[in-house]
Amino acid sequence: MSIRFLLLTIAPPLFGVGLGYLLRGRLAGFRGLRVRALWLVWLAAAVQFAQDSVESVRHVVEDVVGVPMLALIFAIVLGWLAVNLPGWPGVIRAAGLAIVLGAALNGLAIAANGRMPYDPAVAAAVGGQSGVETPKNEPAGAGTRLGFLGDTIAVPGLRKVVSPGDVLISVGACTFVVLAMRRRPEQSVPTAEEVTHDPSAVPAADRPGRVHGGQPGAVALHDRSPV
Amino acid sequence: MSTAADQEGNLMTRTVSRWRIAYAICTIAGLATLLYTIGAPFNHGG
Repeated sequence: MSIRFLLLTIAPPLFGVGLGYLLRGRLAGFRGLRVRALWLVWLAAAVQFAQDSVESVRHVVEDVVGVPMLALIFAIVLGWLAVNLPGWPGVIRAAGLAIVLGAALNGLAIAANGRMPYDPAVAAAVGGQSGVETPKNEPAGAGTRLGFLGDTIAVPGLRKVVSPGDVLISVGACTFVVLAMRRRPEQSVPTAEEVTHDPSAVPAADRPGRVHGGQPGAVALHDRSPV
Repeated sequence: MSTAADQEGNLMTRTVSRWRIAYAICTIAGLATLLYTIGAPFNHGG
């Protein structure tokens, strides 16, 4: 992985952090936003690394077992999103859905062609090696299907070519960070465990500023008859 | 003048705050891997 590619991948969430601070958000806004099973994302990254760089693993998984590694990677990440999306608040869920849509567009182009097609002319224009086939990309040609979903958008500063799906994933990741940072304290309620460090604790009220509903059978003071 | 309980409370607050920042950074790092995994930018020769 080149430095430029690393910059391309970390740019959307980092831009989101900058924008989040500009909009008076803070990293602590992530408090209370449950992101479950993050290990699935690391697992997908490990599988992607193996596909890119470990020829023997790619041979065993794809040729011996017969499972396309790209399908495996997409399944793992979409599984992670499926686990998390229902629990995220509405606007953050919309950012997550943008990521799902981007993945679906990329997945369609890859499924239709076996690899993600890229426009050789655009690749040459940004200084890349056009005509090269990689484990994930191939040059678009006359037989390419859904070419408009392929890598056709130049990123000249980083000398890369991205797809409409990549743009959606980037926008979704950036928006996710901004929205998470801008969550107000009352939207990110600390758990009973966070407050008391006692996993068996029961919160006094469901949200800060609210009054506990009381226990069944408890009589409110104002209902007591005067003596 | 702060008491031992105050100091313990401050330490706990700082620890919780650091964990929250670490949690946010882990999540952001996870989001950064999305373009690497489900993204498919052409990345050769750059």
